[in-house]
Amino acid sequence: MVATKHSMEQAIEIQKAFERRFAGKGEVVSVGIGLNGAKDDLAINVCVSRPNEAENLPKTFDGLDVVVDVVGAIRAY
Amino acid sequence: MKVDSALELQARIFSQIFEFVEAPVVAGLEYPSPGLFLDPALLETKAARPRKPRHRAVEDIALGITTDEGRDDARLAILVQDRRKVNCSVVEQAVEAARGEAEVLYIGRQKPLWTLVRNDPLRLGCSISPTIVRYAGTFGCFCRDNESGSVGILSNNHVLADVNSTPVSTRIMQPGARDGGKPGADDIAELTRFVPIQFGGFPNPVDAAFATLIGHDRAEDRATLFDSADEPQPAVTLQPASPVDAMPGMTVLKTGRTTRHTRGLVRAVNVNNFLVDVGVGVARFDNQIVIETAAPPKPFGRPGDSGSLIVDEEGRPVALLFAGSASGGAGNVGITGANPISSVTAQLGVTLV
Repeated sequence: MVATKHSMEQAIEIQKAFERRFAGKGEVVSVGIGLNGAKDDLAINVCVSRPNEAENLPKTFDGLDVVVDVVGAIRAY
Repeated sequence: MKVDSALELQARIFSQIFEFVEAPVVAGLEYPSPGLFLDPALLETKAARPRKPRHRAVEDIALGITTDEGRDDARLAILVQDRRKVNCSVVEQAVEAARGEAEVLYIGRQKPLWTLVRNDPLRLGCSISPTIVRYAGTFGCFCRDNESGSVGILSNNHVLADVNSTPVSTRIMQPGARDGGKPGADDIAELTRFVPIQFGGFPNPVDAAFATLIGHDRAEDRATLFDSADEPQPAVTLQPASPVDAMPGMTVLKTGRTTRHTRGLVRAVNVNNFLVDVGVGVARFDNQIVIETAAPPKPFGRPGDSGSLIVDEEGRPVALLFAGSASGGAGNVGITGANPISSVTAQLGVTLV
């Protein structure tokens, strides 16, 4: 693994704050921890089902980038 | 020729050269579809005394339509599975009927994927299902029940227990129902336990179930993940005793019923509020792993791959595949959701072997 600026523990704390603010509002499919675009730090990874659902999300949150994936509906495989 | 003319030509060849019979609906149609001409030999499968199959020239020959890129000029495609038939009279007559606007292609013997057929030895990643359903999922891996000590198989609740609904001790067969599994003859296990999937916003940890092996007459290959070849070759050796946690960016592998052996990258971990449509409703999953393909446009997983064991490049168990989407992730070919294997074994009370 590459060294990242934030540790996983730090990222999880930031994720919790992000979830309190944004998750469960009927727009966000899921919130996790992924990598930023440069792949040199952890990032908040958000899955939404449609592009317009990401409009109200910030680009960064407490020092972590917010990476949005538009994934449509998720179903059991 | 135009595509419509090519379809009409196909219908004419099926009728006149292949000597297929017309389905009754053809009579009223001006331009009958090729799909309405049926091979009489294949209609006789239920005869009490089937006639000894005669070797017929039209077997192993399929018709299609091919077009050159960017043009609406269609030609007949004649697809031949047997090399000796490439120059046979039926093919010649079909080319003649197309007035030369035809392409003859040798495509080789078409076989079902190895994951869809009866596997002996039982291989990780092949098709399974309960005997009383109509779908198929994937046989993840072998594991030992911490309660009874007996050995069985690991897959999802929604594969082995049809989302909380299959009675305990229902038989599990390989291949699964969707792939022609025969209840009785293909039974390999019986459902022992599943972690119930809960609805109403309750955060589920896993989609997992365990079925105990019954006496079966097949060999077992417990430690090999095979590749996608028609004659499957070992791709990676499983290290069941050394599970690892997923990390963002990590390379992972799996072998499953539908897409066979694929390579992915962990896109996100500790994924919460992961909402999955399990057929009878939407269930929430927390602490999940999201994976994207490492080889677009080939997706990491597709329906039917549920239950696949996901490992790292050293064969150490990482996760259990259970869900996915048709868009998003690398190549926009969809993302795949998986339960961390440590949660699966803890929740289900099993140890991978």
